[in-house]
Amino acid sequence: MMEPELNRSHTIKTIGGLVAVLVGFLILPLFLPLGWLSLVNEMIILALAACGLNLMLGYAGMVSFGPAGLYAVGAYTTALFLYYTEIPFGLALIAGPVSAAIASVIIGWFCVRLTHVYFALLTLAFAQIIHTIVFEWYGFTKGDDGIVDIRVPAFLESITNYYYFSLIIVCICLALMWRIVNSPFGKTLQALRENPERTEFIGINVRLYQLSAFVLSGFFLGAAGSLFCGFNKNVFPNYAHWMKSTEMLVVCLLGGVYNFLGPVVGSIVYILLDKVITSFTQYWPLVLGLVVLALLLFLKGGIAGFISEKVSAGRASWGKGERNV
Amino acid sequence: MKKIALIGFIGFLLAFFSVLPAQAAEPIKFGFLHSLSGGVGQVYGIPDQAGVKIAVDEINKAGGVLGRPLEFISRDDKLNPETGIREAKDLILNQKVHWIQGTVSSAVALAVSAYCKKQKTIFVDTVAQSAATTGEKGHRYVFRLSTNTTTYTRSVANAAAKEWGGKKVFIIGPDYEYGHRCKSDFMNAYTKLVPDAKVVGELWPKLGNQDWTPYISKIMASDADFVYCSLWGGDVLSFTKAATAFGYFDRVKHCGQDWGSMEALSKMTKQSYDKGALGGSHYPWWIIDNPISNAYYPKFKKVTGMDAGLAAASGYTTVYAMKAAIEKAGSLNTEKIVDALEGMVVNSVVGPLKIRACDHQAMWPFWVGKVVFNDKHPWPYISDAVALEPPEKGYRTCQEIEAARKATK
Amino acid sequence: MTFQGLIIQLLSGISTGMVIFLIAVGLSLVFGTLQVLNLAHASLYMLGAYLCFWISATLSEVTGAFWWALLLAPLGVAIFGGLVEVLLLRRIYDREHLDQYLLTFALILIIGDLCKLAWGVDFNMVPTPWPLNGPVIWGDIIFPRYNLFLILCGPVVFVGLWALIQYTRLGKIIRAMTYNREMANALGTNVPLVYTVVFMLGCWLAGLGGALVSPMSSVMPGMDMVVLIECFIIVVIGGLGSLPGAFLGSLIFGLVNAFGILVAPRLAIAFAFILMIIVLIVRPWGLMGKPE
Repeated sequence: MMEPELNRSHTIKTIGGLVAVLVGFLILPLFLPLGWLSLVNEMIILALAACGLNLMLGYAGMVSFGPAGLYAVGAYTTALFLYYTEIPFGLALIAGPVSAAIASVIIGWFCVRLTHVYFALLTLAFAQIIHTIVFEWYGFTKGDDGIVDIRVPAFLESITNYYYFSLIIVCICLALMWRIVNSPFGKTLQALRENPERTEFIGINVRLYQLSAFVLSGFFLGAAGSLFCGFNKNVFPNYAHWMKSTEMLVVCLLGGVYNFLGPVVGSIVYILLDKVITSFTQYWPLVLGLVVLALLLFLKGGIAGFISEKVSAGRASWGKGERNV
Repeated sequence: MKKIALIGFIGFLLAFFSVLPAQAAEPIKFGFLHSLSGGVGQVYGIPDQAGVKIAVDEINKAGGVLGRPLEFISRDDKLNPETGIREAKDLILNQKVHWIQGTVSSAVALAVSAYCKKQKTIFVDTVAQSAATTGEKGHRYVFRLSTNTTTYTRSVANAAAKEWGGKKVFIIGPDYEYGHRCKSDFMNAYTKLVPDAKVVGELWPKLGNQDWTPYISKIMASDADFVYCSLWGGDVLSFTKAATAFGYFDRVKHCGQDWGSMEALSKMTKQSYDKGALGGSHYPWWIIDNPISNAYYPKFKKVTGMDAGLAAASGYTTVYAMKAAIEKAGSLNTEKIVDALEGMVVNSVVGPLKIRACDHQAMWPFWVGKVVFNDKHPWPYISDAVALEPPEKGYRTCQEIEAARKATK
Repeated sequence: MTFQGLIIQLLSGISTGMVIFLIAVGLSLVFGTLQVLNLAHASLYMLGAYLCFWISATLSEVTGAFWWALLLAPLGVAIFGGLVEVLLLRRIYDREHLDQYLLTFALILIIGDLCKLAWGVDFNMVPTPWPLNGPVIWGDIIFPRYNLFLILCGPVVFVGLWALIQYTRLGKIIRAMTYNREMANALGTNVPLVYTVVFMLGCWLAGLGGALVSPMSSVMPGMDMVVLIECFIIVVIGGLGSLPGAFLGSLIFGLVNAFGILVAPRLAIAFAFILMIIVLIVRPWGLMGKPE
């Protein structure tokens, strides 16, 4: 148990750190070339998707192979509304995560009845079904031609403006997620992850909690998908492809699944790595594979976990009163 | 835990600044965006790039364009529209290129084309074949110096009607938009020549399919008169191998646009090739006889060790077309270059190529002939190949394009 | 469709089924014993195909080059698999499932690029060995000889594995471990060694599948991705860890595919998926697996 004095200064440092980071993101457009700002925008959106996935993955311990399916549901819902109807952009954007949440209820209901590898395979199968529907139904979804040139309100056309828009939305979503994981619901989820049998034993309806986690996850994944649809102004079936799912899983691993902001760090590093490595070599998969191996064997908590360990080890050695490490 | 975010953020800023590209200087830069890795990259992206390099070297040796050297920046789209857009953004916003050329995947082409339209940057599609790129989704800033799905389906339909004229058609194609579009374009063209022709069976294997057995057995058991096959790339080779084990080509009349192309046939062997099939080629240099072609294909072979095919021809031609347009416009202003390109005739490896003003599509001809394998060449090739005369016959008319554009939302 | 046509389509379905059985049986075996879903199984299959191509091309002057390749390629993959197990897999057995998936996923990326580095990105052909090239013609029925050979190989491999598991000491140990790992350990079995051996056997089977299937079409990058999901489908339908289940699941898959494309060509892909989903919902341990 930390002493109150240490606790307060820790909180001040934390909030200070957060504010600094936020300010950093806010002033980026002032000196970053547009092409790179666009890349940061991609990072933020991927971070939202990965954090959404991590609600299920890190907090509830449910490994899904199919997050891309729900991401695509969000993206395509928004895209289809914008393409076929005249409804305002804001409504179309909200429709994305809502429909992803609805889809998650249905898919999740089937999936949470299973555990471990069977759960993972069923999520994969559902994601593939979504991919197949989107791919084959040319008349409605335009198949693998995708829907391009999606309309976006004039003030969101510029890269800078969409960047700020994404930043606001992602911050709101992250704040929501933070409330969720620190609520009694969130604590129960973590207990469930650690020991499902014991949690069930004390009267918690494990399946219901898992389904809720699945749906919340789906909501934020859909939100990321919709946001990306507006960003790229297009959607393609490979938004639902299992390669996209593994990308999200790797991002979570990279940043650290046991850290709230882990996936954020992970997505920044991942996209940077992708950009840098592909400019040197066409063997990006090999490098990525080796990076993942290195993380699994040597950096078990991901980058965030690593830094967190170092920081708390550092703090413990300051001797500011006694502390249980 | 929040400290990580701060440290991570600083780290990320440092990384960013270390990777920021250097600023551009004097040369005229253009972007080359293609699939450069993997099997498709090997067959289309790499030769296209090689052809572009040859053109750039030749032009620079002769003094460049408007007195300035040409320079191109290569990017890999990984056959993925997201990556394609990301790279296009980098090329236009960071590298400040004057135009982008390339792409083999129609999905990437359409996505990049839409982006270039917003950015008012010229995009020239060199290999991706979907007719929509210059048709339904065409616009002021997109051009194509290559054939499209309309051309070759019409040319193949023409040859099939003349050679066989059968009424029962079996369709097999890769299961994505390209394949389905080829079916409808082919049947549209074929039914104009053989009015009561109909489709008696169809198969849609996925791209990269490995096990062809159930597909081939179904085709051979059907009572179709001939097969129209829009498989391409590696699928042509693996299908041929599997089909040969069935004795397919001795029994089935088989036609398709990619069944005479250098990309596929140069890898076939005497034991396993599409004997007697009606195949097409975009650049049959063994038939064409013009000075530009006669100089180019041996040079291409010498420089790359590969035999020239569509990608080799198209990339090379595009660079020269852009040079001619810039010189005609007398400036690098995009609008002026667009105006110069419209209606321009480029002297190319396939003869004089007209770039039509209404849809920015070059009237690239397409040759179809019967595949033979003899001592003349070390690989099977199409003999007695003919192209539609004039090439315009292979393309939709300007009125049809306009109507199609209006009809699409 | 004529009667002969139906017979040929039936043969095609069985052929496809046997092909996918040969590819996927190792995946089921490894899961049953090690409780690890080796996502890189299809990549090992691809490695086997590449090794087969390379050996038969290098030995092209030697008669029976293909048969030598068939012998050596699976051994090569098994050795590679052994190294992977000892150096990498061993460290993650006790860890979260996510770590296992990510490790085997990393292997997919690494093996894929290693093949590209070693053999380039071109399409490669393995010549069908004499006397198995060309078709068998029986009246109106035409069918490739090589596919008939593969239809025979399926049951041969099945029977061979079955005998191994039922009648040998290793087989008894595998069965014991599949039932109860802790007990097997307590009874003195050298569990780590058995894990390595079983994993190597799984890799050997993957390599064998790759080598056997390689003359049927081309050896090229990405050939692993095409079959990976199909492998999952059949082991789920048959039951993870069950050998007869894998055989049955493969047959079902092959027949559904062959007759599916007769009935509804555009939806044929989805049939197998839907089947997998139904099995997972109704009976997750598959047709012949044991309930968890």
